[in-house]
Amino acid sequence: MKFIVDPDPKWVEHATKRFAAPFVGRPYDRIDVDPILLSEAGYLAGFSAKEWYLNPKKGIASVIAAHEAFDLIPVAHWWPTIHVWEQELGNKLEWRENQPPHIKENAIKTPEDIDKLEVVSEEEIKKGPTYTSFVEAFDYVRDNYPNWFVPLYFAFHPEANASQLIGLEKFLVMTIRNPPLCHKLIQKFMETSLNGCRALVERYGSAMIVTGSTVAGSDLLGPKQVKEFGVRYVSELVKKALKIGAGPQIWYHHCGNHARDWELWKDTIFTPFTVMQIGYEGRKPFPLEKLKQLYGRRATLMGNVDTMVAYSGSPTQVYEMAKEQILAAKDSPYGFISGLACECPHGSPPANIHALVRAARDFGKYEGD
Amino acid sequence: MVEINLSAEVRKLAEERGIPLEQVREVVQHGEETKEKLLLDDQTLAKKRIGTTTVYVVYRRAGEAIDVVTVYSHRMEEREVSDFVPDDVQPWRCGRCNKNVVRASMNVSYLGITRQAPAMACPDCGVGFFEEHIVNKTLCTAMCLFEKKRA
Ligand SMILES: [Zn+2]
Repeated sequence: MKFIVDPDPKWVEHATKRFAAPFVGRPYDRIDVDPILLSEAGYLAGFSAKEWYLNPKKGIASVIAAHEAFDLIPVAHWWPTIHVWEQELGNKLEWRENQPPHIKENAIKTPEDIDKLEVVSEEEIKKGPTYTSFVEAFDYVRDNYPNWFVPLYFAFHPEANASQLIGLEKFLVMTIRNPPLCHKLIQKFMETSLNGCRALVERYGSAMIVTGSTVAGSDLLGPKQVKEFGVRYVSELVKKALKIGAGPQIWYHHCGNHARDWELWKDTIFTPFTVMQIGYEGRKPFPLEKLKQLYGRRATLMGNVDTMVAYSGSPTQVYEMAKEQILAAKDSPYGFISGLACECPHGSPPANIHALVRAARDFGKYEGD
Repeated sequence: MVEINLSAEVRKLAEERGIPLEQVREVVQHGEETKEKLLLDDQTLAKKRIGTTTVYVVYRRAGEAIDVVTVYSHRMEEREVSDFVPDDVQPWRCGRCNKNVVRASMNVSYLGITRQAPAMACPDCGVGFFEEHIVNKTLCTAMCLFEKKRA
């Protein structure tokens, strides 16, 4: 028996039209909503984060169910962890009951290990946990919920994943003391990840590119370093992924504080199907007005309601924050999707997700519809 | 008239992509006359808008004749080039300015919808070109979706 009840095809049809609207410059009924439900969807369906990550089919099915229940975008996000393509290079993960997995042991102990690190071949990557769990999730959706089938090339963030191979602190020291070695590490991670991309594209013919930055942001690096270790690799990764056959859908998720580097990302690659999201300016959600000015004619923008508010705030707080963002970005030239600044934290109250959607219904309607 | 050679493989490709030999000839001629072309080793990339279609041809000289390497085309209107990234130097050189082209963005319009797509462009004269995979995947997907939604 399937885990969830099949979504209502009429709803799926309606949601699909709404989702396509920004990309074809024809507003549909209202602004769409994507609260980035990952293991939170498992929470809503009554199981733990660990179960969500370790059971791709059940995990992605729970996202489909939640998206229908809350009338969200008809795309199901699922990834086995943000530490994608890292275990293949030697990182050891530890799963925790109600949080995302974290690194138990880094692949690289000393800078000398970087020279010895080998890019994982496409052949090898097909046997690894990242690819096999993606395939389990995407095959399941393709075979059971074909309207929801959007395979992802989840590259996450090249500089952030690379930093996880050696540990963030050592990585940050290396950006100053030994930039060439740092580049070597990112390069090796990126080529491994791109082999994952090749394997996925070979299987599915295409895959939406999901990438962005975290370490390459304003909390940890200066703008010059963000350019050197972030913008450069995101550009290269997307360029190569497009050539491999992934895309043309791209979702840029720039996580965390980008107060001093937010303009630099305009030098990355934009296709007609690009969604741009920047999390924070300092501790506050990045102002949508500003995002619209620079990126409104480069991409469809995505909102960034504070995840802490979604987790521990009241529904009214979520509603007010979403309202402000919708009013600021609703008229963005290439459209706007309301959402959270990052993954919806596991255990966030369902009432807060509802409040996010209510704001889109109340303030995101298009005239004349 | 210059002799234009298409291997069986390229001929099949041109046929599948609906590009007649006369158009291939027109593009090559346009590239040679106007120098609106890019150069890489012995290869030349030229393009020309013919009717509502922009046809791209990659070719190389073989003595007096021309060997066609690949052909591709799209029906979006190519518009202004922007967002030049001077650090991202591409291997192709501009046929007019002899400068290496850089990564840039080009606006494309179709059925009243304008969006950006990744291109390569000359930092001096500003001429922009699309690579084959961008035309065949990115622009093709865009045209399909725009047609479906505007119908
Ligand atoms: Zn030029």
